[in-house]
Amino acid sequence: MNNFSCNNYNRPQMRPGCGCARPEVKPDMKPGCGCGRPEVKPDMRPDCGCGRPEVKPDMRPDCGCGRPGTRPDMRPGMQPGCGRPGMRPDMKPDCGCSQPQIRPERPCMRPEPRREARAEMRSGCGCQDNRPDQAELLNFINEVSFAVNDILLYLDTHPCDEEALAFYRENVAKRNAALKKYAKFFSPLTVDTADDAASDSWTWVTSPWPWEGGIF
Amino acid sequence: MWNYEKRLQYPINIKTPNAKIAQVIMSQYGGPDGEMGASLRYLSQRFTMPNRKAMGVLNDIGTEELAHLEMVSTIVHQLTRNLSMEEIENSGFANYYVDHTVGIWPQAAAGIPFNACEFQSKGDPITDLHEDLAAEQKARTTYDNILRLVKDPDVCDPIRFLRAREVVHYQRFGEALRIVQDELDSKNFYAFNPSFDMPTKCPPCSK
Repeated sequence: MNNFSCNNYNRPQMRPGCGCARPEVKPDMKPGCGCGRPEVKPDMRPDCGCGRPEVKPDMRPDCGCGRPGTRPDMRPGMQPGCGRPGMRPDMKPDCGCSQPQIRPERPCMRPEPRREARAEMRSGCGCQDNRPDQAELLNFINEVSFAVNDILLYLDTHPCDEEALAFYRENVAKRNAALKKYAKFFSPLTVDTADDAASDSWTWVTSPWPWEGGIF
Repeated sequence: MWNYEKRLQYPINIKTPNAKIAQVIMSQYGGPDGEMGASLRYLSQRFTMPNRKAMGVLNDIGTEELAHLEMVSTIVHQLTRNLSMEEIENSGFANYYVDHTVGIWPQAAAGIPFNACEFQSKGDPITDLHEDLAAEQKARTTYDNILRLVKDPDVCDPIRFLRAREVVHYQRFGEALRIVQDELDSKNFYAFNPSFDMPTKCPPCSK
């Protein structure tokens, strides 16, 4: 049961095979095996992986992506439904990646992995390939947020200054991206990013508070 | 309204508790020229500003002062959280300790509790902006005094950041005062209160 081998994707109770084989991946989990592999893209929907924005998490994997050209392996004239082997309309929205023929190295194409999964992840399955250094990312957030804070005060008295506006836009974009990234890999720093990792617990409260010191 | 971000504006990691300097730094939390007074002053004065630029400056600097308030109280907390009874007795911290243990409570270093008499919101923007310029200088001087008393680099680093921000705020209030004066019809600034005796103007961006 506690087999963390990344190549073991054949057990029926396992989730879509990124191959992480983590025991805590439960059948009632939202799609998103939590493997955090780079090809699991945040904005993708949990179904056939067509990634269409209107495909919702609770949809059956018969999202109608049988539209021609939706996926490279689909042919024009295909029936609604992804048509990938093993896809059935009554399946739970996990696109059936747990099918044995789906190999771990194939993109699992799931939404955000669960944040708490990372502590148990083994190296070698590639789950933590893009994990940034926490202190470095937080330092970056502090710096870019300070830039935004300072230019905001200047813009209050010079609201039409084009250069200042451009500086603001550049830095606020970097800041927002960094806040989402921090929430994805560590914990949310804002209420708006508090569910970014689709975690099972309210990490806003359980993660460290700034006056505790340490990383802050 | 306000949102909260779970980080400090500038990092604070104090490794060595020190009750003596905690008492001194407490003044920037609840003292006469501290961050609590600053934030309440600006957030109270913003309502009677005659134009949106001045409202914005007061609102946004007031908000930043709340973040500074958090920093100062974090410094005091980290300086006092693991004190032994011996340290408490020997450092002169016993008077604060008896009423607050090592809790955080806004007071000046000398013990005067925080109160609204420590700031003014006069309702006259010329008056209020002059008060704000003075407030930033008073805060800057208080940080200068703290830096003369404190030698721990873990403490000096965030204090220096806060001091630098006071100087920047002073510049911003100077700008706001100039803008309010420029928009008066008369050069006789003291003849009337532009917020009370004249309708509020919210001029378009091009002005």
